[in-house]
Amino acid sequence: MKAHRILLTTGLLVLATFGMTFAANTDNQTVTLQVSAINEIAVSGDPGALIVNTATAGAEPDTATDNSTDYDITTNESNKRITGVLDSAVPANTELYVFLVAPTGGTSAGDVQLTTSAADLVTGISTLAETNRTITYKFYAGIAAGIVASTTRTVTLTLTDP
Amino acid sequence: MKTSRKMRLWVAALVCLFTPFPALAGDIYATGGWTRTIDASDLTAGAGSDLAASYESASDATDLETSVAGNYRVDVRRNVGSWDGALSLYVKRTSDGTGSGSVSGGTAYQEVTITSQEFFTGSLSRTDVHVQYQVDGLSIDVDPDTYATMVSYTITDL
Repeated sequence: MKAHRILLTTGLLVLATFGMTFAANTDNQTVTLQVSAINEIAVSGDPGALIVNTATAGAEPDTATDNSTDYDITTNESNKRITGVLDSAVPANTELYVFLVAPTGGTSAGDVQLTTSAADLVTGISTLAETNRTITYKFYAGIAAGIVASTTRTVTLTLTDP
Repeated sequence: MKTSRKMRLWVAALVCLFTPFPALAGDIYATGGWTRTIDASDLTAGAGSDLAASYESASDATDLETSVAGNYRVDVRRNVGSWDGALSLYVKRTSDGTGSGSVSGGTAYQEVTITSQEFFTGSLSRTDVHVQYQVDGLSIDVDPDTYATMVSYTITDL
């Protein structure tokens, strides 16, 4: 009889323990973050007018240069590039070049002649956020161009995939 | 006769052993959740800048309801899921809700980890206990992807 009491007591103690274990309930919620691809580039403004009006006697006119603008860039992707393209061709016998200082880790293509076809200006850009990378424009007008009336072109810089 | 009585006691003990006491268990119900898309509009100053490091959900992103006869504790944890190691998830209680009982604690952000931690305590049943989330650690170094984790709220009778 004593053994039975011990057995019953033990059973009830275990029972109480299980009762406590079962006295919990759980419900769930999901937290989701979606990080989108971010590829942003912005220029500080328009460069000054590129005016070719000097020359050394016996040589082609001097190239006009402007490095008054810069660009800011952010990407959270890898191996991106910056391309440059003109909205329309420059006048005959003139050439417009652009040089972008590369952000950290990127490789600048140096002076690149701008045309109506996109050209690589900087390659190998990965995961960065940098500001004030200098843009330098150079405008060349050979004597064959004669006098060229003032004209404007839009240069589009694009941060894109390889 | 002795053996039969002993057997009955054994059977009774075993039946009791594997029969839970539902009356002792509190219930918790969680509705809502939080989904946030991070894109270029979250850059702190446009091109050239990084993402804001911290993001907050609405103050009532999750609505908790407890159904308990006595005192209880609510614990919180999350699973590993597809969460990025650079991200930290925080949770806080933003309202006391309504009902016959009361709730206490959990009103300051606390990090939710894969280890269960006490969130708040309470007594009796409450509804509309609101919960707000915060995620820290975002930057452009976090790859574009979808990161999800399941947050579990567990109620335990005290």
